[in-house]
Amino acid sequence: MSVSVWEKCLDHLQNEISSQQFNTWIRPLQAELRQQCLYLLAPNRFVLDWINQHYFGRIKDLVTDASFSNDPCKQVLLEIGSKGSHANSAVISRPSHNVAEPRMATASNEQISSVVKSNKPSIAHHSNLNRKFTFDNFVEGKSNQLARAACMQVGENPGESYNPLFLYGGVGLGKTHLMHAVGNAILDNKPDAKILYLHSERFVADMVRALQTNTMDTFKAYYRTVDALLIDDIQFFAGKDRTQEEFFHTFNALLEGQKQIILTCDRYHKEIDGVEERLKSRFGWGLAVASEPPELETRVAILMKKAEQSQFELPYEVAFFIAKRIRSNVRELEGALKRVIANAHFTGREINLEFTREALKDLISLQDKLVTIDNIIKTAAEYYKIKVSDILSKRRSRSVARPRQMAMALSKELTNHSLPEMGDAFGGRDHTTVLHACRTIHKLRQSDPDIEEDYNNLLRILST
Amino acid sequence: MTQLTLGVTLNDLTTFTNYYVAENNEVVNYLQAFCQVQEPCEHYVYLWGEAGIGKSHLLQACCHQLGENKQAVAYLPLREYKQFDANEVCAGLENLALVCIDDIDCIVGNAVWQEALFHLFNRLQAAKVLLLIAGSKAPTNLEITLPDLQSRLASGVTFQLNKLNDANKVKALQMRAKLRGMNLADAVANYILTHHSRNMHDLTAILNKLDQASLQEQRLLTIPFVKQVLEYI
Repeated sequence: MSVSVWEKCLDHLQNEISSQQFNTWIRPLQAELRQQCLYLLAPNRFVLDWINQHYFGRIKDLVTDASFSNDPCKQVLLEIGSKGSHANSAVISRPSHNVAEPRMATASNEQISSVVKSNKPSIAHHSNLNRKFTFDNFVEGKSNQLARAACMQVGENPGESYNPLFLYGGVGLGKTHLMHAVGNAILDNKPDAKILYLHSERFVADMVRALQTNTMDTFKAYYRTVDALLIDDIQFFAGKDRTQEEFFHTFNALLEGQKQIILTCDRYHKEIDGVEERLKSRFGWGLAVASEPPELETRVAILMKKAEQSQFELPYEVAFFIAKRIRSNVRELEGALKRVIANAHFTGREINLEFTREALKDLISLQDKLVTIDNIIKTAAEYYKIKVSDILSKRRSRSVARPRQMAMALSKELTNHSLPEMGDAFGGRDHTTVLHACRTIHKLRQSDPDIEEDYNNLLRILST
Repeated sequence: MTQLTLGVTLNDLTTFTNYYVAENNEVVNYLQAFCQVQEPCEHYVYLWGEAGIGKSHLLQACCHQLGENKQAVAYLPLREYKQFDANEVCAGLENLALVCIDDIDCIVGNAVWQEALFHLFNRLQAAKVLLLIAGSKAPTNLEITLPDLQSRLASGVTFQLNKLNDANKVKALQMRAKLRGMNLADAVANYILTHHSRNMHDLTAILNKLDQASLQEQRLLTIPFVKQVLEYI
């Protein structure tokens, strides 16, 4: 008996049901032979239930029918899982018993799949670190200098210098890269160090499963025996009280044992909503350092570096052109570069400004379209929770005047309109009012961190 | 008495070979390579364009191609899936070779789905699973409120699918008809195009109806016959 009967069954089903149904429900199934039975493995309960209700009867009929195949199966069983997940019982890696794990560990050469075992109890940690993310290929600029320096320090002296290290900032600004880089640096210095990188969702899922399967002790032992715990996007702990409770104890245990903790978050720790105060305050015990949006020169350098990694020769003026147009975050920059590379491979044309403009025409027109004075006014009004009509009104109270000035300063930064045009767009004001607003905001940005943050946030929102 | 037809007419396979490429050859070329290469350098592609332009077809063509190579893949039409529990739908998909998410626009305004897709995105990237997403707008224009997801959506290779002009719609229709063993003359195709919706979804539905009717009545596709059948649409 072989899985060829399943392949035959697939051919049959493909003609019986619509292409969409087939791709949605049948193709996610994996077939495996175990003890003379054909196991169909569904990726999750949702697919399993659907197959059970709608297709399993037909599948059973087909694969057990001797007239359908000269190699029929005695029995067909349906369960949640993936191929090979049953073979892996020698080394227990996660407390979660997640079927995905064995594959995760072997999925890539770049991911470190080395399993570090402690003596007793036998707990193995998969670091999940991505080898590609190192300090060497992290482009340093004014915006992330401090964060990089702190991370390097931690990489050299884990558990000693800054613990916990709390990296925060907007999306796509390199927090995850830095986090992996620290993990990789620790491993380079101490190859048997037990490093664990994971996304906050994983911690939550592991804990839920541990509660369901009554294996909280394994869960605790697993997370409390690492040398460095790196958790990404901690803001997703918000509102998950039981997880926070458990994390609180894990956090304390690790800190007591002088084990390094690194966390990333989309905002400053004191500003996370839905997270217990005692956790928030602990997040600030070590060093909290921000990763800011990269300035133009850094964006150019990032593009050049990424192109080099893809073995793609990117002319400087093209990098400059892309960097000037895409200012919000590194992911979008990367997306634009990938599009240029794909287009270049397809057409075989020389990479120059004209070519790039053509390849990115959709992206660029979107950027241009978004940044109008009206859009800036609307966005500023939403940000400060006031009405658009307030910004355009004659009112001069601080709660209205400051957002108005902010919107004016942003209009000067992001559009090519003249000052009189801007004055007109802001409810028929004089151009000197606009000039005054721009100067005021410029000064305030130097002296008031809140204004600086508002300005950067709005700039990011408008450039996304 | 009406002639009954065998149940053999309905199912068009959605593959690369029956996709009418027209001006989208760069995208098709890229996607074919995306599905073939053992270790592709890029694991995530985003397609966008207006409805009826062939996004779902291409997504399913990729599923078909990998499926034929005995790989487990999943096609997730969010228009139908969004009513279900997002976390249940997305669980375990990192064990597949390819995940295709269609109609991403449907989750605008749905925070639970956005977070579930964000986590799924991270898991797929970590496991190096191929991911193909399609929507009606460019990723930066989607009005996704979770910035973490939005920036990730913009991080891959993004292609806008070009619309078919009327001449190409005729050719696309003729190609589909031919795959079903029908001959659709230029005049008949033009008649359909000038008298009915020109959206490719609707045109394909018309073709299905004509296919069924021509089998039932044993008639060739002529303008009078088309008129007769389509007046019921």
